[in-house]
Amino acid sequence: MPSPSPLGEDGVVIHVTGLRKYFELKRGFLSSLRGETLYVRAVDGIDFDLKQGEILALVGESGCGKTTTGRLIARLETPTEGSVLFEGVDLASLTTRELFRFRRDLQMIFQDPYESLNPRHSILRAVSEPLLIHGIAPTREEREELVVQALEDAGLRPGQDFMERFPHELSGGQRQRAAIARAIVLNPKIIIADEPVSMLDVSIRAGVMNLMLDLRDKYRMPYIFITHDIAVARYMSDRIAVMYLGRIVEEASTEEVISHPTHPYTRALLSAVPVPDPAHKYSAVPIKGELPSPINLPSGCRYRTRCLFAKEICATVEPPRVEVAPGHIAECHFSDDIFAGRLVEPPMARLVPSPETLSNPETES
Amino acid sequence: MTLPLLSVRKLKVHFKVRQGWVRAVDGVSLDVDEGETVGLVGESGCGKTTLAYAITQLLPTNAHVLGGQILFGGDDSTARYRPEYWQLAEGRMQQELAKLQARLSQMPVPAEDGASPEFRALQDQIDELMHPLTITYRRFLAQELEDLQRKVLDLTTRAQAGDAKSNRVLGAATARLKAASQDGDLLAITRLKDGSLREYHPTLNAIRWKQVSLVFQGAMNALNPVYTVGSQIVEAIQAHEEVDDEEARKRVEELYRLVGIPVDRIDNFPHEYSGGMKQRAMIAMALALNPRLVIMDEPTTALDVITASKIMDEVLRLQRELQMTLIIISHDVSTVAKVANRICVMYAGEIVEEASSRDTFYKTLHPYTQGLLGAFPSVTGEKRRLEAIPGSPPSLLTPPSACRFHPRCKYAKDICTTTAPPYVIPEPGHRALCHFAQDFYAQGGLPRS
Repeated sequence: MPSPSPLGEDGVVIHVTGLRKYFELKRGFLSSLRGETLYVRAVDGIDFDLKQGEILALVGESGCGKTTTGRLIARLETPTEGSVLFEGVDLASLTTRELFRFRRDLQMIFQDPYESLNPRHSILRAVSEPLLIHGIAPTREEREELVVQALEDAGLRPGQDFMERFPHELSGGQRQRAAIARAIVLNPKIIIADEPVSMLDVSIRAGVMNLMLDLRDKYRMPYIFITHDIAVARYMSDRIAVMYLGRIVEEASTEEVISHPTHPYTRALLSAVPVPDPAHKYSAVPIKGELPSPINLPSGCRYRTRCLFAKEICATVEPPRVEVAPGHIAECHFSDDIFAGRLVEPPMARLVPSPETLSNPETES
Repeated sequence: MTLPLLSVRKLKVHFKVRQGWVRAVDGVSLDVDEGETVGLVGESGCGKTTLAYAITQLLPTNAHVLGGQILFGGDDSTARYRPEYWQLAEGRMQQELAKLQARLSQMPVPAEDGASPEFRALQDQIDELMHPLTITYRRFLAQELEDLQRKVLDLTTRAQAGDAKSNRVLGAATARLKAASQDGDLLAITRLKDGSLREYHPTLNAIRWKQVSLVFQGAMNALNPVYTVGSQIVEAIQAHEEVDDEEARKRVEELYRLVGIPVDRIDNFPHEYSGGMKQRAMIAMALALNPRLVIMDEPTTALDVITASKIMDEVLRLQRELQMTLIIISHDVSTVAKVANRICVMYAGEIVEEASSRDTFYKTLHPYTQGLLGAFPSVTGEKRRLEAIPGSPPSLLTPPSACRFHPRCKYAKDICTTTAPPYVIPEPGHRALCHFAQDFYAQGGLPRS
């Protein structure tokens, strides 16, 4: 297992403060006459740091704003408010030319390797295109050398054999490796990976995850790893930020989140993960209701409509960010009590037995 | 003796594509007992969805059922006679097979793709005997069937004439006839390689949905956006049963309560439902006609973790309350383990391992199952490095020779490349398609990597 951040440097590569992104909702003619504008608050005031060599996982369900956050950092979207500092420089202040240079330092890996590679371009062309755009390695030989190096780093060995192939000649896992090769060929300073393994088959997924971990150990570039799967996040990351409706509700080192989940939402998320053990006894997920619309967010704490701990205060006062332990932040009025174990979920109405105990009641222990 | 509710025997479903034949399901046998939940696990393209579609007879037109049977719900009266006739027919088929194989071995081995028509015809015949269809069985039982038919006819006339003794034996004779003709089989469309149809099940539509229902993959897109969800379920009920609108609606209300959707949402349109509610509605629709078997194809794949977990809890509760017989298909072993009594692992068109949920995890006998279990990260227990299965799933156009898993298997030896492995059954209810399964069993199962 690669140990978490074995690197001496603790330089902050990305510093995010008060980041917000509101999307204006397209509405009918009549309501536009009435002059009201509605917004989807995709990202609603988040702060975090990404340190050198660190993998930060953004975890949350669909619609929580994790992908928008990634796109904001990559400057594919302009923030409504707040700032992203890259190596101390505000991205908003960059000129077009500087932004172009910044793109070389930040690369993205997307979810679907079938869509992110042009089917008409050979792997050589796909992977060498960033080199051409940024004017690195002027001669063909130099470019090919770098491409072979990147392909082999991505586990496509020997690299020569893959250069002339087209995406349709590769399997899903090989395609995602080619996409990874394209991301690392520029030797970027940071990689944003948006659900890079969720489209891959189970037997291939582990290989791609291991590859990404090995690349981090080799080149020490930090990742922002966006995923809906907290088990994958645990495997990949050093730190986890759990997002819910545009906010980071809990943030801590990975093992801290897994072993001491404090925000009620994180606790629900963790208990919902299927466990690869038929004898595991599941209890009902401690959450109620459905995800509210991001247009009409609940007042006060936005999780309160689904929370089993919710009290009056949650409807009126926005919860503070509480540091329950060094580096462990949870955004809940009752963070300290939950963290200390003084407050636990009330037992849910219906507890679910495992099929094991259903079929042989005598094995119940 | 009771028959399993569903019995799939040596089923072979291939797809015709431009490049040749895709062997999506290649000799799959599977029994499902009444009240049992069976999980079908495998990666994309392993044939698990094709198997579900074959059972419900929803295969696309380029699918060719080249062999095998799907027997559904044989009644108890025929159960005691079935093995007798199966054995009889199978014995004869074995003899015929041996004869044909002897003839084939005497023929000159043809050059690459230059086989003579006779050679290929002989190969096809052998193929059919290896994966016999219902009509193949009937062909080998022609004599018995004729006799039984005559006997039943004879007894019927005599019984009608008032002969009490004939009336008593008539039941047994009818049961024998049914058993011999394999009455009760669901699958019967058979398209041969030349494209001709061989048989069609006349009562198929009556069986589908009423007896067997399917919750489709990506269920949220299976609802029609321009009708209310309630009206779609009413339509499904009325298509199969003569019930008036009011009664059908009452049934829908009952179903909504059963699957946990507020009853006042019946008249909403699909877009007003959340993903989880749509999935619940699809389950309600599948249960609408009280089917004897429900097949769920990836019921939680497109859903968020929390929603998925709640849907599975609901499935678990329904299973308990309704004593439902269920086949649940998923790529995720953990999800399946939550509800299934028994798990079948599919790889490249074959079931490579079948065992109780517990044994699948703790007495793993097939290296692929081991790889699959080791490839999932977990939120419980120690964090350990995952071991990936090398390579990628094979193309079903040209699957690897002999054992289909051998190119990716870390235990593979020479025999795996030359000889197709048999099913090793080290204990009742546990089988694995691997040459070394007996050795693995002796070690107490393969270790969790």
